[in-house]
Order: sequence, then C-alpha cells, then structure tokens
Amino acid sequence: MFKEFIQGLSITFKHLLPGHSTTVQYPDERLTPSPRFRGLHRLVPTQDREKCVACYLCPTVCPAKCITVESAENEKGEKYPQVYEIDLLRCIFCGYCVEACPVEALEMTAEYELANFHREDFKFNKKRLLK
Amino acid sequence: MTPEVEVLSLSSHPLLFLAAMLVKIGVVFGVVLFIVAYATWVERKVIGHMQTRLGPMRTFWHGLLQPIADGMKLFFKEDIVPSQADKVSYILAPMMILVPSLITVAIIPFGADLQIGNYIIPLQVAELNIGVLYILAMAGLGVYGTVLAGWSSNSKYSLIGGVRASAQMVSYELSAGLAIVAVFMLSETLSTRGIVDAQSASVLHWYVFKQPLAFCLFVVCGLAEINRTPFDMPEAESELVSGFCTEYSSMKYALFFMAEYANMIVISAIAATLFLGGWSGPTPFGAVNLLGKVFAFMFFFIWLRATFPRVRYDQLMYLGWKIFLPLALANIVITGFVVVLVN
Amino acid sequence: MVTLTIDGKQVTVARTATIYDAAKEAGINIPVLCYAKKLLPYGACRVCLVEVEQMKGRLIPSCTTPVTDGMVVTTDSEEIRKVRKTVLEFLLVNHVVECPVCDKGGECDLQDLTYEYEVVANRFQGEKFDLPTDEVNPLIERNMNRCVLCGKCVRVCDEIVGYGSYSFINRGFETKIATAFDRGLDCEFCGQCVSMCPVGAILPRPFKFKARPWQLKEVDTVCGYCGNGCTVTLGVKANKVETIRFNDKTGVNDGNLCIRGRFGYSYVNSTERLTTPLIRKDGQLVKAGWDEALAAVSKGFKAAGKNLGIITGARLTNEEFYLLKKVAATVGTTNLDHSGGECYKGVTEGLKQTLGVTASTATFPQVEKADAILAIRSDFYETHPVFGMVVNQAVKRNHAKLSIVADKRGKFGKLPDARSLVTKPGLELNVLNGIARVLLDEGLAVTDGVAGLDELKKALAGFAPEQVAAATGVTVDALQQTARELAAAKNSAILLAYGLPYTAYSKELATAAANIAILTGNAGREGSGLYLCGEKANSQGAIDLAVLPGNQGLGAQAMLAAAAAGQVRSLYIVNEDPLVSYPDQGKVEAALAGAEFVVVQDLFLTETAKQADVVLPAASFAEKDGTFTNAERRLQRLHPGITSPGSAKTDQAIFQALLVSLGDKVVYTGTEAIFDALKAGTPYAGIGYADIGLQGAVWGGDHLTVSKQLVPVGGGATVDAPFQLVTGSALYHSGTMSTHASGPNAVISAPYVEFGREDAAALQLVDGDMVQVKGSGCELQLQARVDNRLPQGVLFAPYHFASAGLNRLYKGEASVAVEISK
Repeated sequence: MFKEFIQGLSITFKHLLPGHSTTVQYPDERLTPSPRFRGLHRLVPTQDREKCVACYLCPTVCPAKCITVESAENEKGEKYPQVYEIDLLRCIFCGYCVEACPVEALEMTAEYELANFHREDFKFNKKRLLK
Repeated sequence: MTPEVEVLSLSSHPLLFLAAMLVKIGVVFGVVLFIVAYATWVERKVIGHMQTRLGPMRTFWHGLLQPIADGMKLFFKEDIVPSQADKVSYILAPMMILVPSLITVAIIPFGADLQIGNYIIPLQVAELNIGVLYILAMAGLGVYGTVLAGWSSNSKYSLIGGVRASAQMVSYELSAGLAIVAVFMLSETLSTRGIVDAQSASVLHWYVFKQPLAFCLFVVCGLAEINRTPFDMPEAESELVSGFCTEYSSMKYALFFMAEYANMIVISAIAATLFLGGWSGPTPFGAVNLLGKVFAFMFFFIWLRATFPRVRYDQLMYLGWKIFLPLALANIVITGFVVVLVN
Repeated sequence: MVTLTIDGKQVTVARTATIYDAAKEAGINIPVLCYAKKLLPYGACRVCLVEVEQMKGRLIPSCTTPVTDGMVVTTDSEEIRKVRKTVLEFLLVNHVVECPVCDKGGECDLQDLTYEYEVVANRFQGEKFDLPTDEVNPLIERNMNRCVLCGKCVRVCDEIVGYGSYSFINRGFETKIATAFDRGLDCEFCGQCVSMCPVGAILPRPFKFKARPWQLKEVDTVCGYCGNGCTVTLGVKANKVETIRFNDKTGVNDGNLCIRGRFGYSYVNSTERLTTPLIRKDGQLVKAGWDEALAAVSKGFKAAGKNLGIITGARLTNEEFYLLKKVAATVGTTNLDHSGGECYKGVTEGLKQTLGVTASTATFPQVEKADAILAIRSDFYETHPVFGMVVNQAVKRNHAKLSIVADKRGKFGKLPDARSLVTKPGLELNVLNGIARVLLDEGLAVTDGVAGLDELKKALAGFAPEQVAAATGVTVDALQQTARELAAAKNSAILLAYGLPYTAYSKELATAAANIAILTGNAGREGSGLYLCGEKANSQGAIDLAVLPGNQGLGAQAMLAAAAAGQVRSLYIVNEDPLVSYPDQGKVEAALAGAEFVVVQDLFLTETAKQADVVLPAASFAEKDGTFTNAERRLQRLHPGITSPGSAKTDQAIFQALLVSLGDKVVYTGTEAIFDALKAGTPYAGIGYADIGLQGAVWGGDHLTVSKQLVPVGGGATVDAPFQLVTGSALYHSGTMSTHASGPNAVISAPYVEFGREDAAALQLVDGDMVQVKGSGCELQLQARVDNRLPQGVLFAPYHFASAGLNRLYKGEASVAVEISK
C-alpha cells in the first residue's frame, strides 16, 4: 500500500518539475488545427453565386437538425438557396453535411473561435457562410 | 546595578505589554492571512503543474495577483441567503469556523525570547501552560461552524455535508489527541513553549524521531480533521455539490475558504511545534525555521491533494476507529513502558 | 385461371394477367419504369426483363408478356441483374445527372434503380441532351433532357385523359416526346403526365424547388371542389400545402385528377384568407375576437328566431351539415337551404318522383364497362373531369357508344364515334322526349312493371322525332340511333350534372332522364346507372342529410325574396357567395340590404361577406376532419393536413361554439361522435365511422333499388334572338373558390365570353377583344374568346368570377338573349 502511495506521489511530483506543462497560452499562442479539422462551415462561392444548389441533402443528413435551407429559382431559372442558415448552437460539427454535399459546395474551415455575445450571432446565414 | 530582567507582563509594564501584544498579534495575524491568501495561489500553481497545466497565469507575472483578484471577485459577488435558511446561524457559521482556527495560532511560539530593556518578551502571542489542551479545544470548536453551516442552509446537500463533518471530526479528534499524548508524556509539559524547549538541543531531539508513529498519526488525523483531500467528505463536490457550503456565496463563502487554509497553517504549525522542534532549529532564525516547516507541511498537503482520490465514507470511519485509534492507544502504552523503563 | 411458378412460388392469376401482374400478386417486386397499373402494357424500358424456363435463350419483358399455364419464371438472377444494369447504363448515357436540382430527386424511379443496381460508372459514352425546357405554360414544366422515353405521358394523355397532347417525334437517338409541332404544352393541364412521369422530365411548376419529397407529410383527404369526390394526398411542409402527391391507392379516381384537384389547392395557402372574425362597427368591418363575434351572432339569431334564414354551400362536411341543422333547430327556424335551392331539384324532386331515390343509382367504376352512355346538357367533362376520364376509358377501351345532348360541343364530342346532339339552348328536354318517343315507337322500351306509361305516351304526342328535329336542329337519325343504342346496351349510363349555373329545367331534365332510364331498362339493372352529379364536394351529403327547407320553411330563393321584403330578418350564409354565384344578383343584393342582420361564414372576404354584419373565418377542406359524400353516394374521410390561418376555425368548430352560445348543452367529443349522432334517419345509418376506409363506403350498395314511375314532362322553351348567352362551369374552375387559387388562375384568371367561329367571323372578333354584352337591362364588358365549340348564335360565359357580374344578366334561365357590340 505504501509503495503505491509513493508511486503516486512521485508521479505527481515528476509532473511538477519544469517542462511538463502542455497548456497553450491561448490568446497569445494559438494552435494550428490539422487540415482535416472540422471548424466553422463555409459555403464555397463561384464567380457570381454560391456553389450550393439547395438540394436539401445537408439538412436531411444533419443529425442535429441545425441547417435550414430554402430553395428558390433565380433569374436564370437555376435552383439556389434563398436561405441557407446554420445554427451553430445546435451544430455538433460532425461534418456529415460536407460529406453529403453532391456539389462540394460546403466545407469546414479551421475557424474555431466561435464564441459570441448574442444568441442570434450564432445563426450563420448565407452571407456570413460565404465569407 | 543591572536591573533585574523579568518577563514582561501586564503588571510589570502595562503600556509596553499592550504595545508588544498588539505588535505580536498584528504580525502573527498578518502573516497568517498573507499565507492564507498565497496558499491559494500556491495550491493552484502546484496542482496545476502536477496535472501538467500552468495554473493562473493572467493576473500579473504567473498570476501572482490572483488571490487579490479572487478576493475582489468574491467581495463583489451577490450575497445570497436562502429564503428558508436559519438566518442567524447561517450568518454566524462562517465566522465560527474561521475564528477558532485563527486564534489557535496564538499559542504557537515562533522564536527565541526577545529582550527589550529589562523585559523579556516571549515570541508567542500567548503563553499557556495548557497549550496543547487549548489546541484540542479550539479544533473541537471548529466543527460547530461546519455543522451549523450545513444545518442552517436548509438544503439536503449542506445538511449531509454538515453531518459528515461532525462525524468525521469526532472520530479523528480522538486519534489526533491520543497521538499528542505520547508527545507530552515525553516532554512532561502541556505548554507548547516547553515542548519546543524540550526539542531544542539538536535536530536529533525532535520528537519525530522518538515518536514516528505518533507523528504519522497526527499528520493524517490532522488532515482528516481539517477536511483536506483525501478526507474532504463534507465537501465532496462530486456527490454533495459543495457540501456544507453549497448555499454560501460572496464573502461568506470566502470565509469558509480562508478557514480551510488557516486550518492548514494551524495543523502545519502544530505538527512542526510538537514534532519538528518548532522554531528551534536547524537555522538560527526562529521564525524562518517555523515558516519553513509550515511551508513544507503545506506543500505536502497540496501534493497529497493532487495525488490521491477521496476515500469512501465507510473507509474513512473504518480507518479512524479500527486502525488509528488502536494504534494511538498502543503507542501510548509503549511510550509509557519506555518512559518508565528509561527512568 | 392460370397457375405458374415465380421464383419458386406457385401463383394463380387471371388468364389476362401479365407476368408482372402475377409477380406483384405473389409479392415479388420487379423493377419497372414504363409500366403503370392504369395504362395498357407498353414494354418501352426493358427494365422488367425476367427469365422464363419455357423461353430460354432470351430475357422476356414481364410487363407485356401474358402468363401461360405452367410457366416457370425467375425474376432475379446474376444475368438478369447484369442486363438490367446495362439497360440502366444505356438510359444514363443521355440522361443528365442533375439530381441535386431535380425536384424528382428522392422519389425518382431511375434514381432508385440506379442505386439498387449500383450503377456507379457507365461503360458507354454519349452526348447528354441539351434541349430547352418547355416552360410556355404556367403549370407543367417539361425537361426532355431527363426523359427516359417510357411513354407514360403519351399514353396517359391519350388513354385516360383523351387529350393527346404528346407524341414521340424523330427517330433513333433523336427520339423525344413533343407536343404538336413542338410548340410547347398548351392543354387542359390536368397533370396526369406529371403524376405518371417516373423521372423528373415532367414536373409541376407551382411546386418547383419548393421541397424535397421526403420533407413532405402526406395527408390523404378528399378534394374540396366538385362532387366527383376524388381522393387527394396533400404534400404538407411546415403547415403549408405545397403540392398534391400521386396516390392511386385510395378512392375511386385511380390517381387521376383534374387541374382543380392537382393545381387548385393553393387557395388554402392564400394570404387573403380571413384570419379573425369581423364585426361591422360604424359601417366598417373591423377585426374582433371570437367571443365578441359569437355573442353578436347568437344575439342576432335569437332576436330573429324563426325569421332567420340559413343558406349554405355544399362544401361542408356531413358532420358540419348536421351541426348546422342543429343550429337551425336551436334557433327555431325551418328556413334552411343549400346551393341556391333550385339546381338540386332534379335529385330531390325529379328522381324522387320517378325512381323513388334521391341519388345516383350506381357507382362510377361501373361506367367503364358501359356499352352506351348518354351525357345530358353539359359536356360533363367540364363539371366532373375525372368522371369524364372514366367515360373516356369506356369509349376508348370498351368501345361504348357515347351520345351527348347539349347546347354546345365539348371534349366528349371528340371521342371516337361520339354523337353530339347539339340543340338550341333550353331544348335538351325536347331531345330527351324525342328519344323516349323513339323507344316507345320502335317497341324498344322496357315496359314491365313500369307505371305511368299511358300518361307518358300521351304527353309525348308532340315529340315525334321529326318534330323534335325541326325544333332543336338534331337529326332524326341521331335521335333514333341514340335510342337504339341505349335500348340495346347491356350496361348503360346516363349522366346529368347539376349546379348553380344549371338551374333551368333542373327538375324536368332529371325527370326526362329518369324516363329514358326506365324505358331503356337502365333503371334497376345491375351494371347500369343514372348519375346525377352535384357541382360541389358534398352536394350529395347535403341532400342525404336533408339540408333543405323544413316544415313551412322557405327555400333559398324564397328566403332571399322574403329578406328583401323584410320578413326574413336575419341571414346566415355559410360557405357561399350568392352575390357572385347565384342567379339574379339584384335579388341577392336586395335580400342583403333588406335583412337586418347578416352573418357570412367563409374563407375569404367575398362580395357577400363585404355586405355582412358579422364575418366568421372558416376553414378549407385541407384543414377539416370529417366526411364528404360524393355524387355516387360514396362517403370518404377528410383528414386535416394543416391548421387554419390565424384564429380561423373549421365550420365544425364554429357551429359547435355557436351552439354553445345559443344555449345547446350537447358538446360532441369529436368528429366521430357527430357522425354517430347524424346517422339516425339518414341513408348513413348502417355505416360506422371506422368503416369508411381507403376506398370510402358507399351507402345503399353499388346499385340502388328503384321504383319505375314514368312522369311526363313537357318541352323546353328557347329564346328567339340572334345571340343567346348560356352560362356554366369552365373546366379550369369550380364555383367561386377556385378563383382564389393560383393554379387555375394561371390558366384562366379573368371572366370571358366565348364565341363560336362563325359568330366571331361575323362580328370580326379575335381572341382577347373586349366586347359589350347587353341583355336583361344591363351591360357587361367582357373579353372575347373564340373556339369551335359553340353553334351559331350561342355564346358561353363561365360564372365563377366576381368581377364579371354575370348574374346581373343571368337570372336562372336556360339562355339569355343578348346583344353584342365591340
């Protein structure tokens, strides 16, 4: 029993020695997420519109039901998302939406600083998602 | 003619006595509160590093001003009194828990006597010939604050915390008291000053070497008595939210916090005095000796907290009554035999 | 019966079945693209290939191959899968893969098959089509790039609808489906092709990009327009009816719908719907709460007492009719009537006197097997298009002999060998009498057990074929042929529609039709029937439940007259817009002005509602729970798909609340409880609410037992004028409600007057010209349309539109003499 006590104490003491801390001093230093990191969504634009064709696959596959799409017809007669909104308060960042997209119009960026002051600010509409 | 040197007392020189007393109280009180404040910082830093974190870093250099920030925060927090609480005892409880721990420090000697003019001023707030009894009495008083806080909050978590605290303290006070008995069987005095004197010859005269079992028992029981991890059953945040202080906020909560650290200092100081020669060695500077030992104990307590998980309640009771109590009694019997044989 | 083995299962099916039918019966699914239950086998897509033991060496298309005894069929094997996959690859050579933007995605047969057969790559390469989409019409979009040439649209339009919009054109890889001269679709917009298309080549435009199929909640209910009682399946998304889904599993319409049923649903979503009760204060209608409105209504009704007049439309559910009758009883009035009071008299009086019943004697599906069909007065297709499709099939598949007695030509007249007996307006009676005379003269008539024969013979003295021919312009030969066909037929059907614009000779026509039914043996014979079809969804229910004037009660027209004279003090008008739809607008205006207290309960702020003292917002069929009885006596369930806008309530809820505020203590726990309560003393007595299943429940069985009492009727009178105006229903609309729906409005949005080619030429009119129509002391400004349906001197104007003011001219006559000036 005492051996285990000492083992435990020695482990914690070892960690106390300089150089064992893994904390990153966040606002001063920032980690670079890996390329496959799933952060804030982004709608991919083309020259004059978003790539998205409002096929409704992302809201269908979304397990958190956080994506709202409303399709409409533009002047050229194409289908486009009149409304495209992601509620980040509900999003679980699983990336299924990106996987489901048949036209690669949606991707997930490395953006992870998503805190905000107002509930509405977490609703990312098409304009914000296209940035 | 050389004037007769005498111990400064109220009758011999009232003004000087009062002044000396106030200075001593001020210094001791100030030092204790300073240590309380910075013990929080040290605890957070040490535990942080032990858990491969950094602890507070944002308030000044390495978070040095964190205790002040915490204090200010707590001070400005809303002071909530639950509507169904027993108001008087609810307000009284945090005071009742802090005061006994602070006044226990009074009998800890922190240096050799000081001579000013013809008067000798003992570096101890109050010299009591029954110092050890006083310690035990004050420790017993502390539990009332906890129980009262738990009961007056009128909340199930608080009440369970309070009940646990009383059971735990009653159980461990016994073992701790009996452990000390062996010490004054050797020192043949109940005065802390006397006990320190008895160990002052050299490091080897420290009672820790004569009474290793008593020392261990006292440290462990002391931990249990002040509700530190791994014996923090009354708080037990994973099961009782925050135990007896669940309903407290603002400065009342801060008082509980301060009491915990003050208790840590008291237990460390008592252990140092009774077993490690108090202020008397190994350096020539009494206060430094004592503080060094206190800090060593406190670091050890923090270290334990970072390492061990909380014991289960039945284990706690089992340990207290079935292991520590018999051990302490056996220790007294053996000590008695040895003392009789040596004499 | 033939027994064969499919995938090791023994199946016994009819001799006429195909392998596909047999497999379906055995519960084995064979993939198909070009097959449809209601169409003739075609074999265009080659996806349904199966292996037949007796025909080894090649695969057999299961949907076109009839079964033979002892056949051993394998529907799934490695080889079959490979071949089907290859077929799909061929189809996908040209088919544009734009599933993400195609509205069919999710319910596309090609998509499903491609997924099932894992066609992930194509071994063949070819050019994708890049044809322009056909968007010339507002309702149906055709994108031939997605077409798989299954020919379903071609076939349904020809076989079922009888319109023939489409055909294959070009050859080989260039083959495509096109309309005449490839000018784009311009048809009657029934949308059968939309419902048939297995891919996204033909899609409903109002639904374009609105939702995905899997997002839609499907609610089976009954169309709220005509008395045909088609079951429709609402596609509901977010409390909005987005589309009508294809469904051939319920009802009797086999998934067939007309433009109103398929595209006319949109009025339920209209933003112009009433959302709160309105009360007239200081001459203005202002919004009010229900409590206030109901208090005002019950106070007004109590004050009126037996001088309250209740006029309702025929689109309430049976349960609502029952509650409305309770309202009348609670107030103590017997002045209760529906649909203008005149038009239904053919059923309640004509049929009652002759056949002793007050409903159609047989059911719709039997018409398909009829040998001879007589359609009277209107074209019938215009009032009941989906029933018309049944007639189409009878003629086209079973070679039924069709005769039409009407004042204008119509779609039926274009069917193979159809005989149009076009008379002068108002003289249909003479033609029917002439036919009856021929039957008697030639000894074709069935006279066993028939009463009143002598009186009829006497009355028909003046209706010798030659006399009739001279008066009506119908040839003697046509009369004789029609009479002979009807008499010779094993199964015959006589069709007569009634409705608000057809009030003239309502009773007489039904009587004359019943006479013919009796004389030809149609009456009482299994497989034959006389069909009197109401204009509104629950016209039959209103008659079955006797929403009719009670003891000493006034009918609708009498009520209006009495209100104008101040005797009926209060009017309660439910679900009807008499100012627009009733004959003689002046009479209605006078009645509304004369009544002290007028309550209108409707979906919209109609012309009549604008004159009311209290307006109660009601609900559409899509929001109701209950039952409708269609023109063949079939009770069918309505299911609510959406909630009413604002605080609007169903008529059922309104009547309940009104009953409570009138002091009636009985509160029903639900629609079923009301149904149970209303059954007593009605033909519905034997029917349980739960028995009304997917196909509904027909009261009285497939054949009503009838009496055979001939009742003589005289001839009609015609107006002698260079131009006579007849009114009626246009195919695209039904009542006044459809003028609030964007679908029908997209095709016909404004009132018009229709001219025959000769008249148009004489007047030098072309489509779109504005003309003045003068008659009955008033003058209307209407747009002219030119078609070839009308005989010389006859004009037609539909009655649906409020802006036309047609009922200032039309006062219930068969035709109105008018003068036309440009």
